[in-house]
Amino acid sequence: MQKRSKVKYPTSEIKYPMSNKECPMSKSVEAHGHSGKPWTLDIPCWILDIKPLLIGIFIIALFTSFSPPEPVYAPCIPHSQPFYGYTFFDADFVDASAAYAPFFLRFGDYYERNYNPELLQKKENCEEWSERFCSKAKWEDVAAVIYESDEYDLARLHEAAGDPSRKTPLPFRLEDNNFAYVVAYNGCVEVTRYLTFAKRCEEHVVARGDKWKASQRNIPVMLDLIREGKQRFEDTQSHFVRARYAYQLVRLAHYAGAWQTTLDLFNELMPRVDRKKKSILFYWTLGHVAGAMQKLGKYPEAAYRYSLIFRSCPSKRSQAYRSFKIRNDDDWQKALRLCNSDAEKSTLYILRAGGSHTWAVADMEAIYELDPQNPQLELLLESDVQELEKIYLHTPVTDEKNGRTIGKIKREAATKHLLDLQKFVRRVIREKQVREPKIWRAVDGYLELLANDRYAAAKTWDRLEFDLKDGTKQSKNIFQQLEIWRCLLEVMNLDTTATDTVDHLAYKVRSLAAFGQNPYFEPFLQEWLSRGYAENNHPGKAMFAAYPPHTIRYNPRLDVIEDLLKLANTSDPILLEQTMKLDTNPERIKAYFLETKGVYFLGLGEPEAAASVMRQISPGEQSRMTQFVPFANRFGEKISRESPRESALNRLQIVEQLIQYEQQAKAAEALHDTNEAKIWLRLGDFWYNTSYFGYEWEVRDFYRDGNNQLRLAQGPVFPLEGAPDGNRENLDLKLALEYYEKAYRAAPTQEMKARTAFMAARCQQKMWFCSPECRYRPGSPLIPILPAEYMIYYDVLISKHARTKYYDAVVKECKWLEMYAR
Amino acid sequence: MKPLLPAFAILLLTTCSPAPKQPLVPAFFCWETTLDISASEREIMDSLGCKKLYIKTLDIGRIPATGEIEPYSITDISDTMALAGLEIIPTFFITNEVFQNIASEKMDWLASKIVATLTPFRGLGAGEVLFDCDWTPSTREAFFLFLKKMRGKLPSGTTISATIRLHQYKFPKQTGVPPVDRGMLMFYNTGDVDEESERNTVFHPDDALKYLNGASKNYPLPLDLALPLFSWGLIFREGELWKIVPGPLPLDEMRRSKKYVEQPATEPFSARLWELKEGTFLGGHYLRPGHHLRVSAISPELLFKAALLAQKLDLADDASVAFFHLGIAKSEHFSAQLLDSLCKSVRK
Repeated sequence: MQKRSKVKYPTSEIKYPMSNKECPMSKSVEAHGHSGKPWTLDIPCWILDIKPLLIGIFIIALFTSFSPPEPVYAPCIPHSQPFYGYTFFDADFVDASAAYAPFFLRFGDYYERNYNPELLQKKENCEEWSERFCSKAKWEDVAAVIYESDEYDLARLHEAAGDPSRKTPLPFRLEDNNFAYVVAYNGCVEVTRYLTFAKRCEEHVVARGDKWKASQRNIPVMLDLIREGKQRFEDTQSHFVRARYAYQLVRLAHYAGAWQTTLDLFNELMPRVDRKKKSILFYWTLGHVAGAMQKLGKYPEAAYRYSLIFRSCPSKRSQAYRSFKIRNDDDWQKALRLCNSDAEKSTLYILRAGGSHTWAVADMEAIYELDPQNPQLELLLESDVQELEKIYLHTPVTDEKNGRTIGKIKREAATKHLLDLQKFVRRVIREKQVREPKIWRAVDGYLELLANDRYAAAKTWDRLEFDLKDGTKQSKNIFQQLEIWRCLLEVMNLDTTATDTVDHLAYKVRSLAAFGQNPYFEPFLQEWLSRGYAENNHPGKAMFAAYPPHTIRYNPRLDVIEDLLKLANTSDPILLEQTMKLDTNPERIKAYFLETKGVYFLGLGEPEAAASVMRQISPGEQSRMTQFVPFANRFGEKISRESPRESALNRLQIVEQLIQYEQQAKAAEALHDTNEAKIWLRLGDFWYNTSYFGYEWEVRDFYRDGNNQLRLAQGPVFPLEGAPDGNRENLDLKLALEYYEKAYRAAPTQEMKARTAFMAARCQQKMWFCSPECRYRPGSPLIPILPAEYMIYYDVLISKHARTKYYDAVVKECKWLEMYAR
Repeated sequence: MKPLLPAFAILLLTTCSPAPKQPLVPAFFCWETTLDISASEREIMDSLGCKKLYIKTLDIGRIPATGEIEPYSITDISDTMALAGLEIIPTFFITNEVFQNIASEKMDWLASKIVATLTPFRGLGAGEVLFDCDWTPSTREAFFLFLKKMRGKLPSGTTISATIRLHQYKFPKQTGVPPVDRGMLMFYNTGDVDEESERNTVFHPDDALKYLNGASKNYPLPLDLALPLFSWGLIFREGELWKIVPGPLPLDEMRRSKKYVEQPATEPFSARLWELKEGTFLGGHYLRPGHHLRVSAISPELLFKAALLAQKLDLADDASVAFFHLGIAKSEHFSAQLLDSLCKSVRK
């Protein structure tokens, strides 16, 4: 049998979409489809209005034509954001603003905020224009002319530039534009002529608005433009403008699919442009040449050119990175042979390394051999250590809270990777050939920390610190980084077995300046402490260290609550800090835990234990407890609470009332008292109303997730984000049914029998909803059909008590009953 | 009256006995982004008597960053010279994600967008459109509703088809049957690409048989058949699928190279496993020592096994056999004669 594929293939990969990936549906068939159990019959409510004969026909048709609904499978705990782990690198440690950095490093949204290739492209081009005009205009003014003006504006600008009297006004939209003014004032008609031409080219090379239509290029017009442009190139004196004509023509040829013409134009025009002054236009043009070369099958030549662009042109770097393609080893060798220096070769190795970290050490070694001074080595190093951080800087609590860290190195292979990297780093330090050996020394210590050799890490950094006193910017940056790592060392050195000191030490760590400089410290510290507390038999403290206080109420655990109650009597700082979020009054905090514990026992169906616990709540706090009305008999399916009435009771009063009813019922049973049925009914109502299906569910629970009704069979504990032990729902209605059955047996009248039978029937119906065989989903507009063993009390009600007033009332309200009765 | 009786009997016999099924109609899928049918490809089609071509027109998905529905690729079909005499069936691949939490209005919008892309096909007499989506329980309802909306937007008389996966063929009641006129049963991809131990992810007769055993004899839709002509290499890195390299792969060259070590085949038709001993480039990816490459391929022998198994399928009387895909047919040298006898063996 197939499994469902989890791999997402990038769009650049070949797609074989016509695949037979099996969906979970077919698995469900194996699990349930042939179980022999009857399928649920779902009947839309509107059918109930059709005459009975039609209904009969329709039901038969449904039996024969409706396919059974498939069971719904609960997903794993949904984590809203992918988790990439914690990093304790400082953005200034290596040159994070280095042009290659975004390809290798991650610092939250640093690069999203600061690195936008499109904007960079515009800016670089405009700055070049601005520089050409002696920086007399801001780049934004240049952009307004080049990118935002239309043909009309440019024609007017051309007129103004061509008017020797300087009397022709600037176009209205450019009248305050400094760049337009400088162009017109200096009579730069070559520039305005070029801009007009470029605008005409634009529509042929810029992506169209409608992504749903294949781009239809007007090739003859594009070829005409190339011919015209060549003439303009000849007529132009300025090398600055000539380079731009060359770019326009090469680009046009590329987009026209004239691959060889693209190359020919480049070879013909570029040598005739003075390139003494560096221009980004050369690399932009080269990008089109490389693209055409790929189309012509010249992959090594294209790859070499892309590597040049990647190395030297920030604004086209990401395109070059994406387009770089080596098909096979021949291509690779040829591309290497095209390189004019080891530095160029090292760029090819960097591109080959790409985002792959599995063998980054081997790549770094290759680059180091060729070009030990290559600054990108530091980026690769940091990038690789960031992958190791994902593996070594996490705890089970980290995984629980955030899901599995998304990383490129597998945990099983991490040790070897770490050792290989340590070996390489030490070699680099030994040989002293790199640009910044201190960076490597600092990382050496960090690798020791990741390897859990904390003593060695501290010693390595101590030695390094002596050499950081030269006052250089680089030394300051490294020192700052060491401060952060030393802070991390403090966290990892916290001894959670020393219960009397660890919390105070944790606060001391928090007060370190470096702690506030990295947003990952706080969650990491919490999780680190939590792991330690859990290992040292403090489950409550462990939970509180890593999660907000209300988390304990999703699925209360006795060991957790008892630990917290013990701590509530001390001045435990972790507890105090977390409970500050609840309240500052110690009695209130204690009441919070006691009420939680009481609800835990009530959830188990043990009111005596619940009462015993909640009686410990101080009278003052008891008066503040939430009130409920859980003993009323209702037949609606609403689960929203009613507003408290005079008869409302708090949880302690409720459990005491419950115990009292139980005693009264037993006494009435022994004495054959006619009130017996009423009391059993109240008890049944309590357990029904306070279940997941009742309107007072909150008496026995603190959090109800409506979505769980779609996967009831997987309960009673359901996955929930932020809940390490899941979320428990009170689905069990056995106790309620037991009391309703007692009430039915003791009922002295037909009316009472009808009432209790109906409530027992509701219990059986909900029990069916929780069965793995049930396909019906509560909330559906369809009518659930119950198997015979779950229909007992509906049958009793319909066959024996249909002539009661209660039945008449309830059948009007309950469409399901009406349907069953038919 | 007597002489009429034998004639009546003959008439009765001929009308009561099942009509002989029509020969299968050979067809191809064209899955390239630019429609550029070469002379050799056209020659294969003509030699085979192929009159039908399923052209992938749009590849629609959601942009991960924005969730917007957009085409990943649009096939450029401006050059229609090579399509003369062929029935063209525009084919739309839509990812399952498109139908997750999609609003009804968005479905209308999507249907309109798709209809607009059919304009170039008007002159080509396209009377059928094929939708390819690997729907799941969470998207089934939306996908089926979308198909209904498409019917409302397409010219009346247009045949709407949908691809049917093997598990959907086996369990129509549980997986649902799309509200379309025809189904294209994809008789391949029988293995899980994520599993390194999988025998042959393109096609393995034993895996295919699992889907046929127990399947109903009467699938609710008239079915066409899609057969694989492709191969691929799956690169596993530390036991996890990393990349898919489309075939054909340079196997002879790999055998000669010391960079790869081929593991002996464990059973007939199984994929070949290669272990990387040195770093090397393959299909544009740099493979490192320790990586595993699993090459699943389809051979003529395996294709005939598939054809034999396909005899058990409930195909339409007027069914087509569409080969996936045309580009490979040329490069893998599947001759027209071979494909012709394959079509004939499906309907023996």
